[in-house]
Amino acid sequence: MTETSPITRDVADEDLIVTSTSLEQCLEAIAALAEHAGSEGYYGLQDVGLLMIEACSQLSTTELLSAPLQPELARLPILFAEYLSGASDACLKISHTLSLDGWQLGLLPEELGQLSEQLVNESPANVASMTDIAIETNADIDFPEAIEQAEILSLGQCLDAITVITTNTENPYYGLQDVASLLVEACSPLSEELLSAELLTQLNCLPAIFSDYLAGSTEAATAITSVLGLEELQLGLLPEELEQLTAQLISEISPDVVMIDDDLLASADVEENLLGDGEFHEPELMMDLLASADSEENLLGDADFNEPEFAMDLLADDDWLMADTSIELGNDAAEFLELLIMEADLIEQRLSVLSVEPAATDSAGLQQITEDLQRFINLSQTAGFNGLALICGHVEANFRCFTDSEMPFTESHQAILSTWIANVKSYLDDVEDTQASMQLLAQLGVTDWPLELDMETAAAILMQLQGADADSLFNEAAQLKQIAEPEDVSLDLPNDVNQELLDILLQELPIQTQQFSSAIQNLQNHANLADLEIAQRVAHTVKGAANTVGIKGIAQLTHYLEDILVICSQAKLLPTSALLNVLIDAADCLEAMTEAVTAYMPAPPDAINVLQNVLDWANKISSQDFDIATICVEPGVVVAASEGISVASIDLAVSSQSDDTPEIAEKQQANFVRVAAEQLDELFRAAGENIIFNTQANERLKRMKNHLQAMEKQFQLLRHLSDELEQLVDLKDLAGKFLNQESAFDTLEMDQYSELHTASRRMVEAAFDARELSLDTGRELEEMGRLLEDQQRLVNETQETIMKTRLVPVSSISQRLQRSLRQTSRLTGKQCQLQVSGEHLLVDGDTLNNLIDPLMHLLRNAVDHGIEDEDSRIALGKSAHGNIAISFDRDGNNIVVRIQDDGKGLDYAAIRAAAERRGAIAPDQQVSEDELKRLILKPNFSTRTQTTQTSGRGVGMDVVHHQVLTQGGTLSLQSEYGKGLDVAMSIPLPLSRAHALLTQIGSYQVAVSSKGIKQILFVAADALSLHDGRFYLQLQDDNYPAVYLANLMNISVPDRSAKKLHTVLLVQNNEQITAVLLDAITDSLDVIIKNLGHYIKKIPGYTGAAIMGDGSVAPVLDLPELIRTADASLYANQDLSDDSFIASPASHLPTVLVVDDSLSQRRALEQLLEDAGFQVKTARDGMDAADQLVEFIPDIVLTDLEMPRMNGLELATHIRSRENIKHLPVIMITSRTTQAHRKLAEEAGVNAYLVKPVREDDLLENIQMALATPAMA
Amino acid sequence: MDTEYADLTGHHAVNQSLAMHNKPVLPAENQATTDEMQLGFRIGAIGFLLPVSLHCEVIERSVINAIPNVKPWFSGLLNNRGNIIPVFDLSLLLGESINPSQKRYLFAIDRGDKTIALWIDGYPKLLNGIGQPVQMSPSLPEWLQNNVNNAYQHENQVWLKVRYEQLFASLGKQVAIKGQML
Repeated sequence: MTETSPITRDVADEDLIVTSTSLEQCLEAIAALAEHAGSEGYYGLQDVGLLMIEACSQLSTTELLSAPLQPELARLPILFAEYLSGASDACLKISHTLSLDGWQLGLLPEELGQLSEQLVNESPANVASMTDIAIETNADIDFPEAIEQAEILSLGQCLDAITVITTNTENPYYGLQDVASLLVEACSPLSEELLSAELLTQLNCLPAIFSDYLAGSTEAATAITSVLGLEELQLGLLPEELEQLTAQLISEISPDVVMIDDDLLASADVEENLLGDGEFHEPELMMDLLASADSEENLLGDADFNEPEFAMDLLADDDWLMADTSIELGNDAAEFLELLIMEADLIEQRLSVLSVEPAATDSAGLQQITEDLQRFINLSQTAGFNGLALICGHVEANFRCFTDSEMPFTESHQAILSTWIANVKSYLDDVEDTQASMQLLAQLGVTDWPLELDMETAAAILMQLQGADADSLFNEAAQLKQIAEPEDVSLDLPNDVNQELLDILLQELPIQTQQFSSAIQNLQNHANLADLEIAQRVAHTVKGAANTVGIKGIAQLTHYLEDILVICSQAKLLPTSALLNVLIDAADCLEAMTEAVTAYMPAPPDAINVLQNVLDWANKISSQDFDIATICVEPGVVVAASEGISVASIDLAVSSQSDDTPEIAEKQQANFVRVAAEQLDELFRAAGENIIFNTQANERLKRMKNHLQAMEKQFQLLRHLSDELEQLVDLKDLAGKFLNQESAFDTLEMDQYSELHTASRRMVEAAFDARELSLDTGRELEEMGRLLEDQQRLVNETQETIMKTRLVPVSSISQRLQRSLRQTSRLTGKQCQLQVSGEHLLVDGDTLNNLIDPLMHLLRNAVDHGIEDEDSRIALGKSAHGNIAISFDRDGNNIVVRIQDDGKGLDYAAIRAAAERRGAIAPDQQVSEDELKRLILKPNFSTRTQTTQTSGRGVGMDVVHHQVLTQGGTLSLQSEYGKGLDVAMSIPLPLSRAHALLTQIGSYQVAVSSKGIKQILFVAADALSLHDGRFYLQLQDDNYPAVYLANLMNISVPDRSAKKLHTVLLVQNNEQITAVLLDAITDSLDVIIKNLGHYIKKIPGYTGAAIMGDGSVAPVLDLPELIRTADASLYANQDLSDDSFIASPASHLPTVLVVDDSLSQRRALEQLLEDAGFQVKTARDGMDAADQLVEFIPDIVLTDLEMPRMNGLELATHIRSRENIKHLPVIMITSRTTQAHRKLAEEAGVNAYLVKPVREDDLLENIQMALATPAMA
Repeated sequence: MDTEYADLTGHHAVNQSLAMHNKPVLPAENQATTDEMQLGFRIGAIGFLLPVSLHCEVIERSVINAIPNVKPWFSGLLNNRGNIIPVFDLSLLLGESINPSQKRYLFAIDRGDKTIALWIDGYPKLLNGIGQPVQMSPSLPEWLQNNVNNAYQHENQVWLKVRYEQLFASLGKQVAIKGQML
């Protein structure tokens, strides 16, 4: 080894001295490597080393430092190391270096060729790979000696070793970790070829120095920081920062080390705590460095970053940090992007020079690219490009096929990788370009890749690319969003929506949003951190899924919700009422959005307000000076509801269910299959047909058995006759013998048979055989009967199973009920608590949907009419908030729904007064409470003199009653004044199969469904009596109104007064029992009820028709309905055949004409207004509205401003110019905010001008006001 | 019972002579030349056209099960291979007198639950080249007039192109008799 170098002595210039030191070290390194090469048998390399040292000793420093020699010399140790590590192209590079003119080696071309050949022949790439280099932990700090002792490590290996040492320490040596982070960051942009030998040498020694440091050496601490000070690293640390770092390094290995208090750190200025923070040291350091950095090469070059997740959080998730450091992070984002692009360039470059010769695999090059890819992955993750990281992960896995196995790296592989890295660069050029990201993903699907891309990874990548990646850099803009825009709540699906992902979302979304709502509600009731975490997790999942599919509205809402929840969760605090109310509203909104997406329901009209509220909170909570403790409480404290907001709760059984909801949901998910409803209907129909055919077969069998029985009788008769015949023949035969005495034998000596005799015998035998055959047939028929019974059971089971596919849990509507309650509570300013029980009950989907309207009405009625205001309640000794309970239960084939409230109940005196006012009862008439209760079920009966916004617009019990009746159900009321009201609805579940009684009315055969039949009786004629032209049936103490079925059916039949016995069906109709008289019941059987076809929707009194066993068709009667429709006093002068009959009470509701050219807006308003108790008609523009106004006159018109054909202003002018409609109130809802538009609207005669987005409550209030003062000139 | 369907038959019962009036059936833009093949069937004096693409069949030997409490022109229901099909007797609505000696057939139009069977006179037949719609139309009862697209004159017979779905839907709403007695 060279002791001193002549070049140092000739140098006067100070700069050159520094550099010459490097040169010296470089030559020393070459000498060490040459010696090492010689000892290992790489004589060619040893010769090259010695030649170079000799040549350098002949040159002056100035010459040596002149380009291009200087970088070549600096690169030589690396090339030597590469050669030794088996890099295939190192030979060429070394030969190339030798061939440079400047060295003045004096080698002939032949000699150079020989040397190159020797290098190639001896190359470890050709002979054998070097053994892995172990890390010398006890190396001396003296670099040259270290070179001697340690084998040369590549840059990547050095950095890996450093990282391993720092992360594997038991105690948190934050200073050391900082150093390691800084080093890997600084080194990553540096190409190994360009590294100076000095730096490489120093880096080689660092693992050993680190080890010394960890062993307690304070000198090592100084040595470490001196490395950071190397100019080549361009870390740009100030001397005082280095001193600070040294002090920290020393302090952390000192026995009296004191960890810095977290609170102190949190409050301290970030810059001052540059390296001293025990908690956030690394990101803060990064941020600080990033903020002060001048050039991108300095920083974060390497992605071997210790805490990528934390960095990711910092970039993408932590709004509170993000908001405060947004500008710096904006720079960070750009830095990361540039680093990624640089890294991609490097990979591209390496790929381009990679050998694809089958004979000479460039394993070192491949290894190098693998390392590069790993670094790229880490860097992508750090920058928050998780999708890109996943893609690179897949590519790296592919790459390992070339490095870890024998798979040859071919030209096609190189081409595909080059295309890939080009795609990566194009993606990085514009990360918002979805086409570029999709291109990236699509390219992974090309078959040339050694490893196939599995669906799971592809889905994960897609999710990240569309969601997280796009957000990663640009979400800082979103983070800063202050105002929610209409597009932020858009539920429109992208045109190129991935149908497969959409299907998954449609399946998962309802479950997840329900989980979210449950968690938020539980949060209110039980105040548990676990619920907070569930809500956060679900919000995160929904956000990801919505981003993946591209439903911005849901993605945005859940994004900000997650932000809020994350902060609460991190602070381990629960939100107090104000925040909780926002969360509840958001959960409601999320559910409504889900319904809109999954069930094509209208989008929630107040979504933008909800999002705005959430945004406000997210912004507020994000500001660093905001104290989270002001809006949060410790776990265990039950959060009280704020004024005007109901406390919604669900029963314990349900909440316990919701605890294990994820598992259940997962299970449900796993078992779900989406099937077209039509297909199920078809299956259901086919199952019904099977039952009908089975019934027909049974009927045929029954007839055959009857025939067989008749045959059996005939056979018996035949046998009897044949016996008689036989006797007669015998007698005749005997008589003949007496007459014919000519025979030689006595009659006893020999039988003499005549033909008649033979025939009679044969006939007896045949009769016997025939009977045997009939018995056999009987046995066969019995067997067939058993088979048909089995088949019947099977087809019934099949039908029931198919029927079950239509069942949905009651819980699917409970959130909607809670939402409605909250809305009504807000409008009335009352506090109410809704308890829903029996949510687990499975009910036919259509029945449940039909129940929603009456339930909403009852709920609104309960809050508006029933529950007293807070003061009154307290004065009455009741709880301050009203209690409403809805229970669902099953009773036979009916679903029973009860709504109980603890409000003031029915005011019988007021009902009586109202009835007297309306002339329904005379002032002195005796009327029982039961009769008064029935009065309020009459159409258009209301005790209120003033309408209210929620339920007093003529929406009364009559509407609910009628809705229940149209479903064939019953409604009963129980109430004690001052104690509350209990409304029970019993709705029959649809039965495609029903038990029916067959009867004959005149010439008609009809089947009477057993629905409503309480009892079948046979009564004597004297039990019937006639009063005031109506029959009554006296049964013990009860007297029932009686009616002949023939009369109900308008069929004229002969007078039955002479009949002594009547068949009577006691039929329950509402709260009354009626006796229906029949002639006879001819059969009792199960029938499949079919509708009467597409065009005959409904004939009052019929539920449908059924095919009988003989193939004939009988109409199936619904007796309760028949009795109701025949009750002339209830619905006098109603046209029963016409649709208006069904809608009659609803026709008293105020009608709103909604005019909007946007379908979604029309639907949203339609649902809102219908839920609020209006009858809604819609028009697609002013022209359509004008046409409709000819046909009917609504109570109010809501119109958009801008519409095709006729706009809102023209429509308003049109309305004001027509005599019959000019009084109509017109409300304009528009996004135009200018005064000019307002003025135009005013001139056109618009009563109210509302700017979108409109709050539900504001709209309802305006409608209410406009209805109260409709006159408009 | 005649009065019960007077609302549908109107005051202009169609007779065999089919008086023509100066009243176009439809605005001119909806009129179309019919050169393609059509299926024609007759109910009384009126011929009805049916596109050959529409499924239809003549049903023989089927029992019609009458239903109480419906209009007389709703003959009842029949079971056609497990499908319950309503049967309409439009001749009653058209005020035609039914000749008992003349054989009538049940003609089922469309498939599944959209099937409606009509009593028709004679078998349906294929008609080719029916030509231009006539500008004049026979006087038709309102229930039919509202659902006719065009009228054609072919082989001395007036043929109507009818919007069957609309016609059946409007008839389907009116099958029940108003007001029961108790």
